Amino acid sequence: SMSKPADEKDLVQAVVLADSFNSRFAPVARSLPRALFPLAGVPLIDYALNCLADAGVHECIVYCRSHYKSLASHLASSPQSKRFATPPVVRNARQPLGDAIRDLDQSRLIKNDFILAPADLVTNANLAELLAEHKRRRVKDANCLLTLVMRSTTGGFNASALMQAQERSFIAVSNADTGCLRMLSPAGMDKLGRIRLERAALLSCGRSRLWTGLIDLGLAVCSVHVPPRFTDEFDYRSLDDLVRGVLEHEEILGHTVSLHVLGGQEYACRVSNMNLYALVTRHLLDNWVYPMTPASMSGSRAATEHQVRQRNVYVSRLASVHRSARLEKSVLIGPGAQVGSGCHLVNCVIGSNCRVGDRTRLSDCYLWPGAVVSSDCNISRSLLCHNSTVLDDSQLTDRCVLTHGVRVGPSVVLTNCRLIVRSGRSEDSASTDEEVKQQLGKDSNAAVYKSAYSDRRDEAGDSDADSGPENDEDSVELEIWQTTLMADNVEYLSSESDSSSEAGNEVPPAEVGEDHFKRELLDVLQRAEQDKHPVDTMVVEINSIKHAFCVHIDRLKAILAYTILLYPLLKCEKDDESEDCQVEITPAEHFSQ
Amino acid sequence: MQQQQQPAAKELHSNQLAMQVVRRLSKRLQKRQQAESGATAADLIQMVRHEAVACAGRDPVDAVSQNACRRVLKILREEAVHSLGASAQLLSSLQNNLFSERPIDYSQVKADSLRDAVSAAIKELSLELETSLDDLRSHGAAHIGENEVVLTLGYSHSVARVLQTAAATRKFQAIVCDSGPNFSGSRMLQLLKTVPQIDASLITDAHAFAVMSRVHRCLLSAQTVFADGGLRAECGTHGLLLAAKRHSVPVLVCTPAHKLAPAYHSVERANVYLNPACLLEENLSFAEVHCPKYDLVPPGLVTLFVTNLGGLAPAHLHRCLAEQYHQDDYSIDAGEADGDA
Repeated sequence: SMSKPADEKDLVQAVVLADSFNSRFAPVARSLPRALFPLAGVPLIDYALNCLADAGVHECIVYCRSHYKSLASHLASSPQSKRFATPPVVRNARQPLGDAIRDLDQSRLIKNDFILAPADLVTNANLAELLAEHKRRRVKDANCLLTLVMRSTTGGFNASALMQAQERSFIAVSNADTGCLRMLSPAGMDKLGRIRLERAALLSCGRSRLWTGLIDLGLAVCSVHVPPRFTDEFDYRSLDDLVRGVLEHEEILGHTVSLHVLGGQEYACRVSNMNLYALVTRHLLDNWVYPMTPASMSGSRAATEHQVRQRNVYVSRLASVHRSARLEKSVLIGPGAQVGSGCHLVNCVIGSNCRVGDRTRLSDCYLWPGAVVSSDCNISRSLLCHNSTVLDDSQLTDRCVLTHGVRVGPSVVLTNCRLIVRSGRSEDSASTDEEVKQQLGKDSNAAVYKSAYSDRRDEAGDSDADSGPENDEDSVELEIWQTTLMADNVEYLSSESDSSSEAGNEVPPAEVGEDHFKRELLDVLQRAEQDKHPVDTMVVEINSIKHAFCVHIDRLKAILAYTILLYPLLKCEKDDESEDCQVEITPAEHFSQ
Repeated sequence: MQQQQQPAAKELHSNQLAMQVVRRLSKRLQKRQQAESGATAADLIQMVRHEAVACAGRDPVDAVSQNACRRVLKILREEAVHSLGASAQLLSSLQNNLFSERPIDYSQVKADSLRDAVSAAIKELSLELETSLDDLRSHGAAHIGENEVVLTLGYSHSVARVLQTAAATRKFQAIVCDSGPNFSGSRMLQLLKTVPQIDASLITDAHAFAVMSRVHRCLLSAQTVFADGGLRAECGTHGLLLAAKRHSVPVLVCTPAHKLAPAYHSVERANVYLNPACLLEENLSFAEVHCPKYDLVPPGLVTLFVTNLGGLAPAHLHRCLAEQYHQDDYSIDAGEADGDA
């Protein structure tokens, strides 16, 4: 590990965001944070830390919302964290990115230009070079606020596969000489296959370059002025907001954003949904993220931990694989695993201490540590989480997910995006016992997972499949393998925060903002009633506390309606005489966005 | 990842690497002898064996460090046997193995008695390693005749020096195959172009078969030489050697003796796989792409090994091995049998 440099100007810092604030991996991420998901046997955050350590980062600050304890204990013991000058510290952030950076500004931890990366980023890009380039750019143009790093998918070997698995892609226009970003918008073509470009952006640019098919990595090299900017604009919640804000208000503040596009031989991808998890694992095993190979990433005696056979087969020396087992290609077998006779494995990751029975066929599946598969099974394209069990003669085909500790019975056939959780812990137990036993086997302890939102979706519009997503704006929980994304502002809906309190992990010490906000709102209504304020004054007051508490407009509508209806009820409880209480409900146009 | 970045930063020649290992070992041996008064030869031997295992752990492809450890072990064992006196066992050799009675007990020998002899022998070893390339040059240059056409592949320090030495006294033609995907052949070409006596030209690997009928000699280098005559060499060598066999062109492999490993060739030997993105830029999602750094060439394709100790026919490699390493050190850590020599 390297030591801290004497001069503070040479200190290289990085900020890692370990919470993506969406629930793509919903029931699986309940007990294990996404940053600790094993990807080819190694926790996901280790890949990001590895890349940062190679870039020469001295200090790393990790932000997370839930699962604080498990993340902190992992960082304390991970071999990757020892490569930094000071071990990575974990801090809490309640809301996406915005709060994390405001916390950075308040605590004055940032001394220099820093690298901002998500924890689920797998890349072999040369971040040291990016940082140097950013510094050079800042010397020439002191207004450059940050360098956004994106990956292009229009060239390169596996780019089209990555593109298809992404939820959204971007188009951008930047200056061909300086890389200064002029326009960034989500890619969407109209029916004639045209994309929309802003004229102003193109005209003001010198020699412009159009990028299409860009993938957002959540990776940026930020200058030291970014945290104060976030504190000033307390509306900013994500990097998109910042970039959009900078591009719109460029004339006012003069800041600019640069764009750096990775392409060709540099691999970079965020594991933001299940399809990408499968794809990135495959790429890792096939050596596309060289020099990060499964052999080099795992363990302290990295070079001899795995025996590397032909066609990307990595077998740990502490695993026992039967002679007649056929490991066809792209297989990783972790320490302590046992593979029985007559097995056929293609494109699999067998975690540590897993057991695979005889005559089983596994293809494109991922077994996390402790999973057990018995004999004569046929599993394809599935994920088996920690300590899950598949009993004899079962078939799990086409995207099944078994969460922690699930047992699925003998001779069962599961197909098509089934998400199986332990019964008793699943939120909605819609199925009866008999049905479960028939579906999942007589020895199982599981239930099919139905999220709260999928029920609503089923009721609302099951006539046509594609009008369904548009109707239901609030639907957040997707089937875990799906990637069609709905509205964008679903990010902070509180399903994850409910789950964190369920899991019993340490809740961040600050007050939950919404209760406070509700009380403030009640106070406003009370004052307005007592002092006979006109409606406009009330509107101004409510707007100001909305901004002060950083509440989203949708949330405000919900809470306001609730509070207004609650207020007379509370009043009735206080007053002894029951009077008819009337409160005027103002129409929605008064509230600013 | 740090170990993979190091070779790019500082390219060590194999003899420099071997010398580093030997220096490190001699320092550790001295420290051990000074620290423990009761140290025996067995302890020292164990320590050096551990170091060899550690070397294999750091980089399974690198045989030179392990071989350097084996040379030091041979020195230790020899000196131990000498100090046990003439009444001790006959030095094990091919004939004596049948008749020797008792195995040698190294724990009888005190480390102090070995100190001077071992340090003198290690100094000799370092000198030999340092001058290995110069000796190799002179031996190799003798094989190239006037106006001959010599074919080589990629960039190799030893081959470059051999060609330069030969060019001092005669004129000849050199054809260099650029070995993709790193195209080290062009680096070799730049070097050879500075030598006026050599008429150097560059061809692609695929073109080698076509020119092979005009070539008098193939001059190559290897990363490791296995005990049965197989090689671990730069990618493309196997194809080149098969072409040479087809056209009956003699193949000379110039390697210093410290690259000679006691293991036998096998396709399961350690190999490094590079990023496949350097090979294909197309948008194909169905292809499986492998980019190995080394070729594992089976035995039977090389005519002569030119080492710093002179020319060596493949059938006599075992003799060189027996002189350099002790029989007991041929396999270090039997658990690593599948990994590397």
